[in-house]
Amino acid sequence: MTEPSDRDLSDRVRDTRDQTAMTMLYDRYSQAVYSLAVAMLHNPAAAEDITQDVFLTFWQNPARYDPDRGPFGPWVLRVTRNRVIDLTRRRRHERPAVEGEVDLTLRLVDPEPGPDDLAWSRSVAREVAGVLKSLPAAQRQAIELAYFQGMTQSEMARHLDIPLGTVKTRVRTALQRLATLMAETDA
Amino acid sequence: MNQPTIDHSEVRDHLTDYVLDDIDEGMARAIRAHLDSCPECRAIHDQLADGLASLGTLVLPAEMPAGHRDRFLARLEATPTEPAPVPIGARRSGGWLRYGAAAAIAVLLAASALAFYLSRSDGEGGRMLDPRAVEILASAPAAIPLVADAATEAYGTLFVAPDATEALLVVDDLPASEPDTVYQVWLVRDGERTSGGTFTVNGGHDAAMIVSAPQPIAAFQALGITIEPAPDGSPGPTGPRVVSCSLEELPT
Repeated sequence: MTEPSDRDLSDRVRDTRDQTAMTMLYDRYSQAVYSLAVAMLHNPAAAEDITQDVFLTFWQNPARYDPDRGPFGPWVLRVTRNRVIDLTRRRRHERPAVEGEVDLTLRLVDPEPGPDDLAWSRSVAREVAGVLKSLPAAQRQAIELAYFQGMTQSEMARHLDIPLGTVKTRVRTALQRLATLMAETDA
Repeated sequence: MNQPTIDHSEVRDHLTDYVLDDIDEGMARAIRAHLDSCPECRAIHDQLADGLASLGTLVLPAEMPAGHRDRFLARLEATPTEPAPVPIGARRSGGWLRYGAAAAIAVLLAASALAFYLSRSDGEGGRMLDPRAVEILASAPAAIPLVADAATEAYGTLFVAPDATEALLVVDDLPASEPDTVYQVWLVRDGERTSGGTFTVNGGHDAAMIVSAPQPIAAFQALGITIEPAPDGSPGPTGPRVVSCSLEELPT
């Protein structure tokens, strides 16, 4: 039997408050959400709280996700990062310390096929990894610091001791490459 | 509170900062307002945001704590939700789907904050239900879900009956009003905005109000709520739109 699509499930959550559909979305994406949260927070308990909050907030107000504006996976990861950034910016002392140079390629997931619930994540990760490997190291580092460390671009400029304009150029170029990739992947 | 307007190129210059949440609140508000009305810039924004989100897939899969699923399911069971919206599209094919008034009242009044908003002092230290609110609910209205805009956490419902010039607006998780601002409801028809009233939000982040219009609500195409100067709002919207809904499919 064909598995229901994310859109089917999110529609069922929105239109009929279907707990089974909500649970299926949780089963599909909770590990990706948790993995991102724990990678950013280095705190399993806080990461589980964030994970549950992300899904329960969607359960309470499913209209905040508009399937016409993109697939569920990127959206739920976007919400997750925003939650983590909100938390870490509120509690600056919990922000993960930045220790020397960070190499994003060290974070790449195992490219081997995995369980079905990680299929989306692994598929996108392979594409993203390809793009990142094509970027100059400085751009990879900039996007890493912005995304995973939640650094503002001004903080990055101070951390790296380079002009703010240079940081912005690096981040924008890297982000545009990723955006183009995602658009091609969705097409 | 005047909302600065910015053009396409200025928005696009700042979109990277915006999706990174690395921008001052004034500019963020201006960009949100622009994105609300510009599908082209919104498409670019969504593409950048999805590109950024794709980085989240690069983390090594972490083993989730034992029992996480049971804990989630327990919280899911315990988490209240808004009632499921009446499927607007179904009204066309199946006639006017009525939202059972008794059920609506029971569900709505289950929320103590809402019961408070729907009630008024009885002059003897107690509170009595606002008869106008009850009348609207008892008229078997449609329930139209609100869509979050600038207030990304907000959600709510507009209860409106056919041919009615009043509707009941219920909204949750709106930021508390600043001392010098109010929320103002706008009804939109052919690009013209008609004020439907103002309200404030306290620390409880929820509110309910009766929206009044000079003609049937169904004659309008959309409803939006913006932040405007206290105490009376503005002649036309100047602040960011925080939530909205379409009224296009209401029968007239």
